Amino acid sequence: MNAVEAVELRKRFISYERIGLIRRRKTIANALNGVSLNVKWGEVYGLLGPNGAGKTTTVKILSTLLIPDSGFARINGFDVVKEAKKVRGIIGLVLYPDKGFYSRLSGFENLVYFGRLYGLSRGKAEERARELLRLVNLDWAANRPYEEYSLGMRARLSIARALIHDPPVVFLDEPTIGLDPVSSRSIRDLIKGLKREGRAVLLTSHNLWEVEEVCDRVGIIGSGKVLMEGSPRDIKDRLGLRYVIEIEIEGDSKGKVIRVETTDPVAELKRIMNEIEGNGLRISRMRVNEPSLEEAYIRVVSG
Amino acid sequence: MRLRDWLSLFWAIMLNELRIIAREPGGLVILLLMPYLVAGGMAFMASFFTRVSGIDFIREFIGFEVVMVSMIMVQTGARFISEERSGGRLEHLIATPVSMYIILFATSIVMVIVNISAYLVASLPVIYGVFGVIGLLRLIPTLVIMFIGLMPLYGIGLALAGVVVRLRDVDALMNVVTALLSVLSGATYPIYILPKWVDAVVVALPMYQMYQTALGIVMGSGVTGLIYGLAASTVAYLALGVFTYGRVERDMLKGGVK
Amino acid sequence: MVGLRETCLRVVLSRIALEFQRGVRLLFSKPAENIAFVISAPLWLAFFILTLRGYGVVRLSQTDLQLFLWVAYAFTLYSTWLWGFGHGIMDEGYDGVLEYVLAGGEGLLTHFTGWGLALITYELMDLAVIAASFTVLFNTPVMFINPILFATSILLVTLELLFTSVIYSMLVIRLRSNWVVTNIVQFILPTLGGLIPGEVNGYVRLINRYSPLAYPVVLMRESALGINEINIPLPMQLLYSVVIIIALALLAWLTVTLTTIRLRSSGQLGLY
Repeated sequence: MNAVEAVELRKRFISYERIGLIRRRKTIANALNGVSLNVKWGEVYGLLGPNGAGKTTTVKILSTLLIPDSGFARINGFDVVKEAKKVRGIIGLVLYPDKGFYSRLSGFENLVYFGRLYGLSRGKAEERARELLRLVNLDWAANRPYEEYSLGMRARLSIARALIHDPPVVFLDEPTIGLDPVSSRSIRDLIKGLKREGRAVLLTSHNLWEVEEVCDRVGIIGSGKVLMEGSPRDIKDRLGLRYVIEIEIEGDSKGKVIRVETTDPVAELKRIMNEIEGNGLRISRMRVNEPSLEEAYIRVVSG
Repeated sequence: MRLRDWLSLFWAIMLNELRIIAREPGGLVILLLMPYLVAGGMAFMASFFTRVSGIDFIREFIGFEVVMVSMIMVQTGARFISEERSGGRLEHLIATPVSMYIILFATSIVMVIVNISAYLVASLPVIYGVFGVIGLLRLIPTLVIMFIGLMPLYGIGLALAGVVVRLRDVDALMNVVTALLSVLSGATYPIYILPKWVDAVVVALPMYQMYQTALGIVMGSGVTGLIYGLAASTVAYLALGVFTYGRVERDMLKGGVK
Repeated sequence: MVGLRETCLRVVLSRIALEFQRGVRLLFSKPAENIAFVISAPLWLAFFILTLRGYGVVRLSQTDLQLFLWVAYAFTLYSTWLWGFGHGIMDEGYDGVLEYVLAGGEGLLTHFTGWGLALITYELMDLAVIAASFTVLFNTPVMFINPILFATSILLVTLELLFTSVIYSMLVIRLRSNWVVTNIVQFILPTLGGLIPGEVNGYVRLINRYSPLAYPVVLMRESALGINEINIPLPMQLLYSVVIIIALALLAWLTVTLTTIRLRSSGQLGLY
């Protein structure tokens, strides 16, 4: 059984736009047009897509905060609509890294409170709060009011809250948005740690480099559908994106750089090496540039 | 969950809310001073037209207390969802296994306790000044009356929460609601001067029932039949609030928390 | 030198005009708020009068009614300025708007002045609503015995409350939103500021006579009702009002300057 399973999720939002003083125009936004995905245990799944593609809508449906118009989703076998309470007990959630806490309470007090809401006893909640504050490097600021926390600290506290009840499934909606490189790195390390512990993690992000680093599989969502899914390497291969091999040669043609674009870097590299050796040349420097996930993403999303 | 676990959870929510309130001492001070300022100010103005006795002042003081704490309860219920939403906490609260009804109920109990405590502390000097020790003893059962009376007001607030959530301008709506409910409180004036149909609305609202019952006890004339009306109001308005909130949460789950 | 002064003056005036436009746009960008005020004003007036009835006040003379009208209006003015404008400044500080204003090269006092002047439109709307409510509720037309002096006094009250609110909000910012300051000032200012008519009793008349903050508000009442509340000739009251406003403007400038310097050196301009 997969940790997270979503089948043909559909969701549309109806809103009313005021025209003039009294008249209103009804607008319908089809947020999801049949999203299907699954996340395995011990896997980090990245959900990518442009703004308005349906990433957050998907996360909210999976975390029981939104009821889909059709389709179904299950978290560890529990239906997100019919067994919402059971689902809530086994998921951790980061929706907004910069808010969602009580400003006048300290980080520690906030965590203990949410821990209690998740069913932990007071002693256990306090113990977990201290442990998690150490893990996210906030133990030094545990007793400072949340309103004094910087953006990076708030993001880390959000992750601590998501883990307070030790959930096996974690949803992270853009957890590193607006963070500096050091804070982002620490959160990526945390996410890798969650994966090592066997948890299932669904991550949405616009930082494609980060997604490529931490995610085992990626789903690219656009216009409410998953347009392509697979490991970053698979996606690049399927799209026929080219690797660039650069080789600098010694010998007669000293200083010459060979640059080759190819979809099959292994085979191409073998061929080039054989040719260079055959000609009695030596390689002084070599680099293989893998196509970026950004290229793949842009290719998929722009059709 | 066992009963002990439920009580422990309930207590945790109440404690959290108390902590938040305690960190804004300015609000608590206003709660204590406001009845004196308003009732005192009005008494001062009225004194230029007529003689204002200690009993008149007590009557109006309790009336203003009732109006003030009633408005706080209505506002708390009405604003809860929109404030949690703007603070980014609403979805995280819904996403926990704890029912929102429990969170709302525990939060409302704390607000009631804080308001009753403020009422008690503020009223002590005035009641003692006019009635002496016997007055202080009579104050105790009025705390129970206030406790019963404030709950339906939270229910009224919750019933308004659905409208508040749709409007982006919460303050505007609540200004009108506060003004209207103050006029319809029947707590600071004799209601017979109103038209009959307005009279009927006033009597049906919990503020008038709470005020008349508490006043009767403080004055020593005992509990009136309005206490049954108060009990009925508690059930009716709380049920209305619960039903309305249920619809609001269902709408939010269907349409998303915007 | 004269040319430079003229240019500087033009720049300042155009900035103030820009802030005025922005202020008016903001004030009327939330029609629900304006409608709410129109609906709630007569309700609060009714509550006020009903409460007096609760104290046993059965009959009110025409003069008393007129005085109540002006007390209600003065109360609205204080609420609008201290709570609306004053807290609006604090909110701008907290939201980081003031930082952008400073970074754009504009002085904060210019920013506040233009914005504050926009509130005149709101004050006039307040006056219309309260006057209409009074007329409907009590079947009593509102008196404006000396309209020119009344209009002048409205301008003086606006300027006085503008600078007072700026000083108040700067104090609150410096004292890190200290609730003691906010609560005390919010009650003391209106009391010293002529909210209560001197007709009430001798002590109030004494406060209104000797508190410079009271003159513009008292002048407003006097011009509407054709009375002399504090037994000082009206031209002298006018002069004293202008003097106090100049003093408040200087104090506001000083407070804004010192607070800005302090916040910039402590790095807390956007968050306090």
